Amino acid sequence: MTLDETVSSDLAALGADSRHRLRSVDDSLRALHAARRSARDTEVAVPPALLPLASAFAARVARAAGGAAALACTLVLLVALHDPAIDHGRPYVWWRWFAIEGNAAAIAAVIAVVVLGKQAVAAAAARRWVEARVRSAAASPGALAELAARLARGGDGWSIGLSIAGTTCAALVIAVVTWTVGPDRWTIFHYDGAEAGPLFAHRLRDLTIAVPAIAAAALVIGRACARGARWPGLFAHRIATPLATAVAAMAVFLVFACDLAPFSWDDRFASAADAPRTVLTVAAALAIFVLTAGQAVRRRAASYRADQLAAVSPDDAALLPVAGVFRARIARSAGGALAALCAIALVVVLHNPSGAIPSPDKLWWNGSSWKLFVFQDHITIVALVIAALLWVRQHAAALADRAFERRFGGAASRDLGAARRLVERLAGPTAVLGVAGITSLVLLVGLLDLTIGDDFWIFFQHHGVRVDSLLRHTLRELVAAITACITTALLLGPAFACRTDRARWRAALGHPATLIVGAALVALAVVAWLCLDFGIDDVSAALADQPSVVLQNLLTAAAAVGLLLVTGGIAAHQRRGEHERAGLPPG
Amino acid sequence: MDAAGERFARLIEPVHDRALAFARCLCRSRSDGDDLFQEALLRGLTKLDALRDEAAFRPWLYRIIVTVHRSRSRRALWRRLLPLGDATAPDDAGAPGAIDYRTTDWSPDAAGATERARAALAVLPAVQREAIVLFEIEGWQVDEIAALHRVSSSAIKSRLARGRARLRAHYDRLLASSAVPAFTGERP
Repeated sequence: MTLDETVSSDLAALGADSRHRLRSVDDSLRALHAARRSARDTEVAVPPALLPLASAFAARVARAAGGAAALACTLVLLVALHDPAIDHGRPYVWWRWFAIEGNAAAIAAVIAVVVLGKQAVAAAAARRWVEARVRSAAASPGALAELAARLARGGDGWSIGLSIAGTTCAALVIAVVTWTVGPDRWTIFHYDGAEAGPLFAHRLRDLTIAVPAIAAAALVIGRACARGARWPGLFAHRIATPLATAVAAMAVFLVFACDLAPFSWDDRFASAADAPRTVLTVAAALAIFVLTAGQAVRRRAASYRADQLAAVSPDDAALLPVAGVFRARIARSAGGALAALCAIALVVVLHNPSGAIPSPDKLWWNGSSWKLFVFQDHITIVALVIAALLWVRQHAAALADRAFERRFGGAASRDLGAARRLVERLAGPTAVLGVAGITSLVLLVGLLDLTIGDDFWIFFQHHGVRVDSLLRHTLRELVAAITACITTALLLGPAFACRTDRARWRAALGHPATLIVGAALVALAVVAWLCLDFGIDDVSAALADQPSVVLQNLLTAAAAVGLLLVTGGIAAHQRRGEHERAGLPPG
Repeated sequence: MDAAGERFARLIEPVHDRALAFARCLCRSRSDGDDLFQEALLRGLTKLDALRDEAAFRPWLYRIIVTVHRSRSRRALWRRLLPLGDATAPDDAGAPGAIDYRTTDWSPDAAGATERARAALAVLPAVQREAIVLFEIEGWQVDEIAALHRVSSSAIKSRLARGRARLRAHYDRLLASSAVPAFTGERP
């Protein structure tokens, strides 16, 4: 027999064996119905309520906080756009311009950072609050059940109302102002306000009416949901999304039919087409409102567990802090990994791999490439990266919650020891990814800001030997520094993973003195850098003396070491705190 | 028995034996296969409302068996990657474990052949194992398997070819490591 024939013969034998001594259909059905009955009984008796309730409560608090933050950002933008005290003829007062000193990309990115950051902080605070309440109620099943009832209903109305209000208002303001001023910075509202006339003034009027109206309507919906009214369900009706999409399509049609182009200096005396623009604002507001409200109501229906309040088990109380630590470590690992990838990707992009250097007469402020829109203001890049980090952390944390509940939430699988071992295993990777990611990203942004300044666009233009050599040297330093940070983080990992080994130098890393020394090194490097002049501010100036390469290298090394001490110290501190929280030996 | 249960019983009867045999072939042991089949039946009964066309019950049930088999394999993979030392870990569905080639039974009787085949299939990834079992043992056509897995026929052919190649490589290693030539006649 050949090898192939042997394989086929063995497979045939397996097939014949598998059909030997089969269970009868009746036996299978009997076992099936017994399993089905047992599953139903288990669903009623086993209370998996506490872990998902805590997650749902924290998510609701986060959405309310995020919505409030978005609403606050919208109000700040409207005030800044309105402020009659802002006059470019007066002395420049930076904080008055700060809110609108950017284009739509920068402003949207900053709002995203504020909202996501607020959500992360609020979610963490809510979980800590729940853990503290559960600890104090753990001895009494009655108190636990009452706490579970509060968690199931708490913050329901506010989370719906504020999330709808914040999302709709922020999206509307960004959309309307972007469509009014185009890709320019929003300070144009004041620079060119006189020439633009009713085009700018009436858009502000529309937004000033729309934002409070939207906020009020959203809070009414939230209150209705909290009281158990059924009419908010209309927003989740299957016709609502197509209707909102049709309204949005009508708005887009209006834009092209009435030629509602953004403000242009060349056409500044053209008609503002006021009425169609107001209709456009109303249509956009309606469409965004209906879509956001529908999503909020559907999400609420999916997560609402008020009717599943079985007796909450005290065993869940012990698992809750372990679940919190698991979630935090997964979120930090995901954020750190993305931060490291973003740092590496930014370094690659800034090397300008497409290589095309435009002709010297093509000035950077001409043309409307995506590079101009995104890289015009470095704050856009930084804000986008931070927003991406926060978003990834949030979603990684949500996935971690679901995975933990699935693994340890059921009565049959509630194993505190295994949960703690799992959390302990994550200590090493979390430290590596967190330290590598944050150090690399902060070093990259800091080094570029201190050396090159505000505008990353400089990497995509040709400026002559002087500037180009500085850019090349800066990029080489960045590559070396980021490589060193990632390598150091990899060396830290095993120390954080071991329970007893290297406990002493882990304790030294977490000592407050280490953090102070690290912060001092970073501060020293920053101050020294600020005193140096790299000659970037005026690229057309004659050849200037640049700071020595050795000095630059020393400053970079000092900043990198300082950052590593700070992030390593924070990681050690967090490890100790989380181990205490999860009931693990601090080590 | 409720209406759903009765409907399910009526539909399962003609395909029960072959589906159970299929589940047994996928797993490392008959008892694992019986467990897999039972879990698939429970899931099938729960999702019976999703079945629109009763004529397509057989592929529908097989798809459930395949899905349950894959999720068991993934769970086994995570438990191997992140062992938590818990005693309640279920048997690995198809996990190869450590194969001691020196003690492989090369006897040509059915028990030895069955054990060899199970061990060989266990080294295949889940998708290749399913394709090989459906094609070689159950006698399904390539396009039927492709419809079940929701991939193209060429993907199934590729899985079959790679699965076969890995099986051959596995048997080669078995023969090379075998201390005792169990065949009295010519070695395969």
